[in-house]
Amino acid sequence: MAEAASSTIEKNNLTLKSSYGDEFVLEESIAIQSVTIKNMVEDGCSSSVIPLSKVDTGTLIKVIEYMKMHSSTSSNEEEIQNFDKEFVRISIKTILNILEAANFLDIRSLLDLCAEAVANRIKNKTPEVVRKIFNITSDFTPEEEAEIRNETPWAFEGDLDHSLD
Amino acid sequence: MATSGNGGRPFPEDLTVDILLRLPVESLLRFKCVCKNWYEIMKSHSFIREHMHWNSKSKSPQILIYDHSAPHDSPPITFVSVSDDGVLENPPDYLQGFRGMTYLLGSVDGLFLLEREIDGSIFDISLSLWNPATREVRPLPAANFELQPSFKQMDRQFGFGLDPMTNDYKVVWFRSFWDDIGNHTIPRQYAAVYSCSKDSWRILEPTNLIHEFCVEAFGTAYLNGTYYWLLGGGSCASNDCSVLSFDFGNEVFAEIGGPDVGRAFNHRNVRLVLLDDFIALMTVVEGFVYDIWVMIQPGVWNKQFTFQCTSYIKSWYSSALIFVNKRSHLFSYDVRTQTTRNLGFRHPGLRRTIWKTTDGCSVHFYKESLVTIKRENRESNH
Repeated sequence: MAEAASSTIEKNNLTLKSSYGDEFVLEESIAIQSVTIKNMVEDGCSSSVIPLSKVDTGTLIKVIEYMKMHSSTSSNEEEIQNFDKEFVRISIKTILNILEAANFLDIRSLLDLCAEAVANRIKNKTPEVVRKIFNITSDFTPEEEAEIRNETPWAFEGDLDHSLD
Repeated sequence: MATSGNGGRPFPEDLTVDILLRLPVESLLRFKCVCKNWYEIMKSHSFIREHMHWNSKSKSPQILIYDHSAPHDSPPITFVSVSDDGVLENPPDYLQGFRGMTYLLGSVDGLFLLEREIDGSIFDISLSLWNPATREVRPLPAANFELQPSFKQMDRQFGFGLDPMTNDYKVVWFRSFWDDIGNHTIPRQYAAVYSCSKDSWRILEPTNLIHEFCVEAFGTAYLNGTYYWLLGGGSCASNDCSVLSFDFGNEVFAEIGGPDVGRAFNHRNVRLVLLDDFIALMTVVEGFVYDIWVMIQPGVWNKQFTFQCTSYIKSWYSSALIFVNKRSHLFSYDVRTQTTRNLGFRHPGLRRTIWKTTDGCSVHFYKESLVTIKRENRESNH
């Protein structure tokens, strides 16, 4: 680890540490797609390890994968589009985790990608399933809920998606 | 454990809004019952505006086609989705009730204004506002114009839009008549403005600005709290033309001078259009060649585009004119990018001219919105 770090020292590497304590070494030029990290680098906090206490290891691995692809100069627009499409082919819960991380790290394009993907995945779902995905307990009484449903009964008709993912 | 990111706690609200903004109106109406928090978000005026703003920059419009001569067993309205290359959606059953409209104006913020003349009477006219995305219909009360049976309607125009000062949707309606008294024929003008929050009409002082004929715009001409019409003048050809505006905030009409095109106008060959965020005039140069004059400031006009179109022009949307080719297919031609696109819809009625009522198809573009026009659920003003 120490050797690997010293051999690439010219590239200005940063170490990102997940909430589980796992460390990932990443080129600064890639990491500063995150405005949060960029500000830290500019404030001179980059010499040490950057702790990301709100991002777990699995999520951080995905975020780094995204940043690497989006800073790569060898991939063309079509490749990036295909990458993005594949990137969100994961569980909705995982996308929501990445969305939160993208918000904390301030990576606008990743936030947009995740928000769009979640919207696409939930748009035909039932309110019951959406509550489960977002960990929401309804605070409406059954009467209140029935009343809201009655305002636009047609929005509850048709082939709704009952799956959690 | 692996999902510790959102283990048992609810998802943060600001990020929830980021997701909700991207949902279609039908999904939002369904998700209103998820919890009180989501319900309040979707009812808030700020979310409704933000959702509309989001749609306007990132979603393709839908096309609404009103067939004035639809047979009795088919609904008069067809929706065409531009993004899915003309895939038709199944029109909901309630649209059967929209048969027999004499006029449809829209869209403004996803809303339409419908007019139905009953038995061609000048007294019996019903107006409604309609949001096709939420399926809300708001019938407007009758306006108290003091009309005489001797009046013959010569012209009528509508405009509608948001008064941004009060967040109130308003409709302006002006009508001109010939009054036959003995052997005299006297022109009479009336105008009134309707406010959704007051749910009533206010008769406006007669204005001599509106004695001239208005030329129907292509598409709608609402921009930043004001509606615009092209005034056609009394005679067919003259050297100038002007634009009439109505400010929904202070509820007054104003007249704005048109461009000096350096020759006589044939008013039948000028149309007002909304070119993105500018009022513009489309004028015929000769034959099938058109100029677009853009109003960069009130009364200051700039000629920006010249193009040729030999087909029958139906409407205008954004920076594109909408035309019908000889085989009744609907096309768009973007004057900025000079690109032509087949919109994937064909209907023989598209080639018929709409004169007053009863025949042909009108073509309208809209982007769905959550804007509510229901009486009992008034929008809050913040």
